[in-house]
Amino acid sequence: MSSGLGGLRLAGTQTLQLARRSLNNERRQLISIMPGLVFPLMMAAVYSQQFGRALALPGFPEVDSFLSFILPGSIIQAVSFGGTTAGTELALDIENGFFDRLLASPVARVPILLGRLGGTAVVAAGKASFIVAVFMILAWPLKAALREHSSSLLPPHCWF
Amino acid sequence: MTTVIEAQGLERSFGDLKAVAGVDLAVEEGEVFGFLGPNGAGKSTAVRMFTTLLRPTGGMARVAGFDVVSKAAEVRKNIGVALQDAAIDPLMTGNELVRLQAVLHGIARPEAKKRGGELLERVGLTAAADRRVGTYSGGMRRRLDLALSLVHEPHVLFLDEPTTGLDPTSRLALWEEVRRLNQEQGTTVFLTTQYLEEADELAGRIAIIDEGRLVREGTPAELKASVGAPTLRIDIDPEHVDKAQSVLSRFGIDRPARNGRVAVGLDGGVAKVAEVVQSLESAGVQVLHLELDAPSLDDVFAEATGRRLEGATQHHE
Repeated sequence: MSSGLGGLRLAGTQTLQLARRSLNNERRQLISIMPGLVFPLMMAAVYSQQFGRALALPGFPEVDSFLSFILPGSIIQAVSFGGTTAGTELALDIENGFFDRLLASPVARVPILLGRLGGTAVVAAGKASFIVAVFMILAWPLKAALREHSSSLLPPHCWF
Repeated sequence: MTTVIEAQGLERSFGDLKAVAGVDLAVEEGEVFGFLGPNGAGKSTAVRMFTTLLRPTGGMARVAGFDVVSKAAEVRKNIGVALQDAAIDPLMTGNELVRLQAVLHGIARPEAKKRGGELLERVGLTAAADRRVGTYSGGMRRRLDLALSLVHEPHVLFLDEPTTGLDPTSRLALWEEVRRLNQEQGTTVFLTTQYLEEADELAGRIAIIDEGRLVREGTPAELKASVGAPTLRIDIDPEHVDKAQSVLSRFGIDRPARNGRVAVGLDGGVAKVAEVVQSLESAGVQVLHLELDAPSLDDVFAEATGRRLEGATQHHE
């Protein structure tokens, strides 16, 4: 019935295939990851305009620009959005009975969970990279400007 | 003969509700066993216990020789399951699903690919294999579901209401496939249904479940014979129902019937029909329409529970 795959290797393959499935599903409804990308970027844009000058306040963390201050927050926000999607997907699986199919098959319980999380993790990594890339692009003209005005009286981090 | 599915005093409660209230049954290898009952009778709850998805709250069950609680993993290796409403992810394609299912059953990828192709061909889904399941019709989903439950060539197949909501053609195709599986591969099939016709067509043995308890068990022929007399159904003016019933009670046991109709288990069969009509007319009840039916499973059910099955005359959910 079952072929000669070893137990651990089999669990690995199963996890991988389940992760692939959850990744495929994310790809097939790409629109669902948009809120998780758009909101953190929008927030970052708004806050860096509003609070950019807070960098000049005494005791503010040592950062190059407000963008690098807000970057981790944006990434966390994007990933939490992804977590919500993953939770909804899992709930849908349970509701439409797909989860029962998994539970009634001889697959171990751990791959079922890891597979689901695996897909989400890949998407989260993708989102984080995208946000970092956008921030780097935004910061580009800023860095150039800082170099030009290096003779200015103001300390450089006050420029943004 | 080995017993493949076995239950003793099997129980499941949800709070105060006893969904399954002490079921004993034994299904032998190679049988098609029909589990017949109305909605909410406990059919699905029983199947979920047999397929390890739900823990019994009392009694015990064994499938393929393994206890469903302590040897759940072993049970899962030996069973194929197609649950109610075809549990299928609409975003995946037929091909992807059947391959994933094979991997879940520990079949290596190249073989999974081959087996998947064969199974999809068998259920006539080759052309739709690369389409998302969300675009499939109800019949296609059920056929895919059946294919999925067969990837690992299980000894025991559980089908929970496999044709509910299907059109007559798809239903016949599915019956044919189940029959083929049973005859060619010797697969033991445990089938729940709310359709008498389906149980009659497919099952070699039937158990009727009502409110969590088995009320009858036997071959369709045995069950029908146990009811005995054929049913005489007479359409009359609804006002005359009481009068008609008192006349009919002289000819046999009253049977449930819809409004505007009376029914009786006619002792003596066809020879008595003329006499019934005469007696009704002399009592002032006009006969509008009349039919005499050999005992059906519907009668068995009615006799056992005092009610008619939903969908006994028409196939609606």
